Parts: sequence; structure tokens; C-alpha cells
Amino acid sequence: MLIADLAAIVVVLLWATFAARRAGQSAGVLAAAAMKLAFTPPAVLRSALLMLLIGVPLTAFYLVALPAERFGALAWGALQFLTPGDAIAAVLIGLGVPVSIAINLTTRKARAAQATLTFGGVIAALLPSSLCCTTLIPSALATLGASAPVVMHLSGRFQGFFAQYAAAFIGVAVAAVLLSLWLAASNLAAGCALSLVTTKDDR
Amino acid sequence: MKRLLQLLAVPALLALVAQAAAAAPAPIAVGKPAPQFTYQLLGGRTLTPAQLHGHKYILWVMGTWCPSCRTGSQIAAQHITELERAHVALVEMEAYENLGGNGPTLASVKRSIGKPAQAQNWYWGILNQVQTATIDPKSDMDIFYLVDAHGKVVSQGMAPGAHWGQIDAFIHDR
Repeated sequence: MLIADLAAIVVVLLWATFAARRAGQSAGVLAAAAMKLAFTPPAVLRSALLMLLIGVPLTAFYLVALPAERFGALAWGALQFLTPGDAIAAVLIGLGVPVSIAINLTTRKARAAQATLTFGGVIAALLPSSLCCTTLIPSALATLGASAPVVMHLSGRFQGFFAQYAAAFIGVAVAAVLLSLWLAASNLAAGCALSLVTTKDDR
Repeated sequence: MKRLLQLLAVPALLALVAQAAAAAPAPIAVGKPAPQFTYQLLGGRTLTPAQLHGHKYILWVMGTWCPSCRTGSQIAAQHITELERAHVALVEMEAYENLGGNGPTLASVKRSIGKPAQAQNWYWGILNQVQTATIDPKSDMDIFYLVDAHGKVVSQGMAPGAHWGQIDAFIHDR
């Protein structure tokens, strides 16, 4: 899991660095500026609420859901099987989603004319939720299979497949969140909002 | 002659169908007697219904690729002495062909548990196709049944590691 997390982070960072250089910018500066814009007035209250209402519950959910596959139930007891890799993935996904939405909403406010691009960023931010955790997928398959003996017969095979590639699934979810963050930050950079902030800060 | 063969073929076919139906045991169910199977254990040993007769036991179907099953084995290892004291056997059986999943051998899973896995009341084995179809008709993974001393299935559950409280209540007749 830890390797999958690190691989996802490295891949997205490399891609973001490459994309930023092509645009003649620094990925780090761009991301920092976008964060600053989303977490300073007037957007700070909205962003803080998003973190509180989405980020905290989502992180708590993933902290339980990711080790639940090893525990066998989506319950607090799963926490005793939490690994460092699970914890990193839970924090990145749980907090990455609301941060991404916060940046996108800030961009939307600042760049109403380019709402289509921003909407795409919001969708990208929400995408990882569909990859929330592999334990839910076999459970869903098992539930579906209750009325279809053929599916039930294969449920063990499906569970085996998801168990084998669980780390990869979570790695993809982490990469999707980081990508959504990058898309949101680059959306901000594409408009005047970020330029105004950086110009003001530079003085 | 042809007519005679046809006449003989029909009852013979019916007898075969009846024999096949009788040979296939009814799927396991709570409130019903547990199937009277002889289980193939690791190391070439067997576990017969006579050996289990008069004892409470936990019949657990697992897969070696299943993460919660491996955790369940670790948790069972913490309680195996308690089970032994209560004269409760743990029959941990890998499903036929691991339910289609790829995983390590059962022997390596047992080795990973260490000394507790060698307990006298912990049986490790592999189900055949008929046994899997009977005990795990829905191909669920990590399913367990609690069988009382009269050989009746009194309860069932999923993931013993996550639901040890259910097993604990069974052990202590609560």
C-alpha cells in the first residue's frame, strides 16, 4: 500500500512538474499560490467549512474503510489493522477532495466566464469517491449476487481479483485526487485570479 | 431386442438420477444438522464425523488470498487456548480451488501463524468440490458456522476475526 501511495504521488508530481514547465511556470509555486487563494479571505470560511464537513468525515471514513478489507468488517475495530500506507492514502483522499473542491469553487468565483473548465475540475475532484475502497466492491457484488446464482458463483473470484489488486486501486484513487488538485490549481493559474494574488504578494 | 434395451435404459437412467440426488447433500443451514463429511487435512490426515461427535466446533471456510481470512487466523491464534479449554474445535478449511482466487498455499498460511496453529483443536484442511458446494453454496468468502455438541448448526457469520464476540458467546453458552 505504501509503495502504491508513493508511486501515485511520484507519478502525479512528475506529470505536474512537466506540465508546469511547459507552461513556463513552477508547479510548487503554482500549487502554493492556489492554496493561499483558497484559504485566505474571502474564500477561507467556505474552504474551512468544506474541510470540516467533507474532509474530516471522509478522512475518518477512509481510516476505517481501508483496513476494513483486512479486518473483515466496516467497523471501528478495523483501525487496529491500519498501516502507514492506509493512513497516508486516507489523509490524501479524505483531505484532498475538499481542498480540490475549495480551489475549484474559488476559481469559479474568480473566473465565472470559464465555468465549464472549473466544473470539469469539480467532477475530477469528486471522481475518487467512486473508488472509495475495495471492500465495498466485493460487498456490492455479493449483494447483487444474492439474486443471481451465476454471479454468486463467481463472487469469490471477483473478491480474489480485488484483494490481489487492492493496493493498485487505492493508488489510482490517490493519483486521481492529486490530479484533481493539480487540475484545480492549473485552472486558477490559467486566469487572472492567481496573477492578481501573486502580483499583490510580490509587492 | 432394441425394445428391451429401451425398456431397461429408462429405469437405469432414473436410478442414476436418484442416486446423484441422494449423493448431493443438502446445503448447510442454521438449525439443521451439520454435514457429516470426512475432511481432508494438511499432512494427509483426515477429520471424521466421529472425531467431531460430541464436541462443539467452528466450521470456517476461507481462502488463502483473502486478507480478512488471514487476519481471522491471527485473531483465532490469540484465542486458541481458550477454545481448547472449552473443548471447542476450530475447523479451518480452504474452499475448493480457493474459490478461483490466487493465493499462497494453506500450509504457508498455517506456518505464518506459528506455534498456536499446531494446537490439537485447530484443524487445517482443504474442502473438495462437493463439500464446498454444501458448506459454501453461495461462494461467500470467510464464512463460518458454529456447530453445537449435538452436531446442529446453531449460528453462522462472516469474518470470525471481526466477529469474535459471536464466537465467544457460543463458547461460553451465552
